Amino acid sequence: MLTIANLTFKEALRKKILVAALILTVLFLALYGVGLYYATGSMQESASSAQGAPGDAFGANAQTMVDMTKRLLVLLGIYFASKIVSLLAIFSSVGAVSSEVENGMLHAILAKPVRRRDIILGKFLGFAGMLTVYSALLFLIVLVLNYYIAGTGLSDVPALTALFIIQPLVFLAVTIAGSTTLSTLANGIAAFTLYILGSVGGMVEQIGAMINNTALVNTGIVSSLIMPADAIYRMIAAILSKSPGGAFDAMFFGPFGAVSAPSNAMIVYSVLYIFAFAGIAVAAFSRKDIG
Amino acid sequence: MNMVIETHDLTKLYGSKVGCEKICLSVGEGQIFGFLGPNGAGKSTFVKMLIGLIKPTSGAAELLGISLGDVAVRRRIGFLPENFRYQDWLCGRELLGYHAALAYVPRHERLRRIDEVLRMVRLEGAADVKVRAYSKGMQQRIGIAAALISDPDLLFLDEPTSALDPIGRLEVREIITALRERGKAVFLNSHLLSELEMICDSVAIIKGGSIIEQGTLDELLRGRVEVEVIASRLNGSMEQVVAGLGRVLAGNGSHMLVELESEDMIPSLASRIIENGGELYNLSRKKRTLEELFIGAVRGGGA
Repeated sequence: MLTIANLTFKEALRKKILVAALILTVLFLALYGVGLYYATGSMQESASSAQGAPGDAFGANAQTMVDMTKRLLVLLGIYFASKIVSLLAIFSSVGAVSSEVENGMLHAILAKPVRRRDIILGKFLGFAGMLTVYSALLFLIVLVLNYYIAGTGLSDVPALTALFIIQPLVFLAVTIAGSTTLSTLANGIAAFTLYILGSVGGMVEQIGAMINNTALVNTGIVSSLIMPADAIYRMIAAILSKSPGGAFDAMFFGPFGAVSAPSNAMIVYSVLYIFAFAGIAVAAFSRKDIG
Repeated sequence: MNMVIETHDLTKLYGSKVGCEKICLSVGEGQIFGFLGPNGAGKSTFVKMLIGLIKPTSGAAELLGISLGDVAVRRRIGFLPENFRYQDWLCGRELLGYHAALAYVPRHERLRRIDEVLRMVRLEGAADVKVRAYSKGMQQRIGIAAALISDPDLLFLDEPTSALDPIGRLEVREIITALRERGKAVFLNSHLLSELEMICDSVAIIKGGSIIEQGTLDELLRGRVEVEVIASRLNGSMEQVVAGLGRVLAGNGSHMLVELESEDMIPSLASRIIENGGELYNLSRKKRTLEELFIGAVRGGGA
């Protein structure tokens, strides 16, 4: 298993999709950094002028507003970083099994004394290794940008990083499971559809919570059960919006926040979800005839 | 002789479509076994069942005395797939290192074994070149090297010379015969009948998922006794001369092809020709080729 994990990790580092993701990530971070710089400047200016007008409602809450806007900027960075690593997880592993079956690369491997279970778990670990390193670095760079440009310091960084890494792993598990049963193209379409479902479902749930519409909230919850990655992002958002605190804060972050915050059980559900799909991948591949 | 492959009614059905049906085969150790059949006959399905890529619908099989499905047996087998494709971003040596690790070749033996198989397939000079830069023939050679990396007792080669030039084919034949000399068994899937005829001890022909011909090459090619005759000035026709011995299959005056009932009748045929005033220039037994056997079996549904 470790032999396959090691080769998969090296192979994942060589994939063109990783190069594309790296270029897009650099572009994203550059734009985000520039945006952060100018937004921070404007906020400080507005706050200074508002504080100069006593009795003004905005002026009274000026610093709070600045702090919340800074949190919103952090959340925006994390939200789009989540999308990047989720798409990277999908497109790097979309043909993990199917393309190697289609091009015959797996035939010689399967003739070796390796259990099919170990091939799947090895591939999962290899891709997971690459995604973990990539996600952790991207997440930390977003936080570092916010710290140095906007002066936004965060606590709970290890826990937040761990939560952030769960997101691509959820997509990885689903995509590898799909790769054992579907063609590469069909798997790509299915995984991307799930990605859209999760993102839209998450937004719908937040909008439902903001307008007190139970049907929309429930729709979002169901979509979170089908694809829990967005719910993990909402947990990160909920942790980040705890201070300065209050319902107003959550509303302020709009669809990027967590007006409807998932419970901690969602972490357990997401981890079980990863194991379940890894198990499905193992079971499906063990039964599969490699023609 | 110990059997390295034994299958009993091994069957693979895809719904109502037959992949292979009730295949019973035995291959002994130290044998080179040729498996022939037209496209779509079920050759690859059968090999894939033995390798573990496809699960049989019914029947049983043993490789090296171990039941099919036991992963442990794969430590002792090697396989070159027909559509070979390898991690082309690795160099030849790295690729073999990967296959050696998968085959549980002990770490301290890997480097020596990798050099050994690279020498066998004559790729020592390209060991550190990326596989993507290899020609198709070199890729087939590295595939053979990967199949040999664990020094297997049983080797499955699916069209092992399809991408090779005549020298490359000769070298692969030499590798295969050298393995036989070391007591290894080789199961060959190939369309190159002349090559199989040169090296195989036994063959089986599959058609429509079923074995239609099976045996040692000697037994199968012995079959009919055909004699090529060049003779002139015969009194009477050749039909009259061979009456009671066999029949004339083809001929144009002095050059004829005669089928005899048995090998013992060859001297009698020579005597008859002389007795009938003929001048005999040539009388040679025409050996049946594997190609003739194959075409006869496949077209006729039997030998």
